[in-house]
Amino acid sequence: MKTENNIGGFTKSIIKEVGLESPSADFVSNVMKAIDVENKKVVSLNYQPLISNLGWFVIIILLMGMSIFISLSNFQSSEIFSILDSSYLNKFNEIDFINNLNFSTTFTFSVLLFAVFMILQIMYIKYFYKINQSL
Amino acid sequence: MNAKPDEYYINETLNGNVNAYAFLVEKYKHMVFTLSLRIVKNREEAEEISQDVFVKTYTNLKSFKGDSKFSTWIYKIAYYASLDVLKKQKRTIYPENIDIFNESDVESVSHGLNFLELQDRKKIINTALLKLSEEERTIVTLFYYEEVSVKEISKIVNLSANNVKIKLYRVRKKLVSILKNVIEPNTIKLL
Repeated sequence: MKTENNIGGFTKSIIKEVGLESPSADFVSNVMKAIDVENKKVVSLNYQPLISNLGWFVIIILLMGMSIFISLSNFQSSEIFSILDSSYLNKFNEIDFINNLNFSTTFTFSVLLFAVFMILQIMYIKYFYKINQSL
Repeated sequence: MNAKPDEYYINETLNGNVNAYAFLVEKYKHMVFTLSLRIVKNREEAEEISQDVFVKTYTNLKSFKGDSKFSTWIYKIAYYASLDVLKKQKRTIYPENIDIFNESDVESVSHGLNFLELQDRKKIINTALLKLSEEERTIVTLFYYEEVSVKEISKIVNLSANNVKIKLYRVRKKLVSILKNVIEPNTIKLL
């Protein structure tokens, strides 16, 4: 026990004697400059939404206006849709999509592999950002 | 210089006062730089790593929840950032093995060091420190210089508290053993 205290005291004294190392004189100003650059990057990376708030407001007003107009007017859907020729839609029923659909083995495997790699990539990216954020 | 706690400067920084962060940089720059230098053994690299550490800490300050001390958090980032640089450069570390340790070695090493000039003494101690592993150097510097508790060190180096205690016990003996091997040829040269 005495030896342990002795060796502990000795280690402490030599570590204290060596002291700490100092970085360059302009270290703090360099860090603050780097932070300034980082802040500007964050500002430039601040993405604008594709549809602005004003855009959403106009869309909502239009939709509301249309629904009010439809509900209040004597509008009969059949009147408008009777003008349109919908006979071409019947042609789609003649095509048997499901039974005529054939995929080669290579195509099936490549799609499966693509899906697996895609999932792995998403998992890796999620893990990478989680680690980076935790630091 | 700054009697206010770290939390004050952290909150100030988070509220948009970037200059408050400069106080934290000033306070921790020596320790972060020393930890990094003792791992990468190159001043330019250590300076670059330390700078990155402070920038990274700043950008992630929002995620600092205050569960542990700010110092623990920043030392941990510095420790892993330095180890990452070593890993990227694929530098291999060959720590020295412990020689047979005698109780009388502490006395003789201490006497041997007292014979040397201050600058030579510092040089020899630094050489001995560099012969330890990165983890050992970090633990010994944090414990004996910064007087960081074993619990906080265990969070920094990601080891259990008991493991840190064992490593401290071994590292003390290892340092004396390395110093003994370094001092003896030097004293012979002086005689």
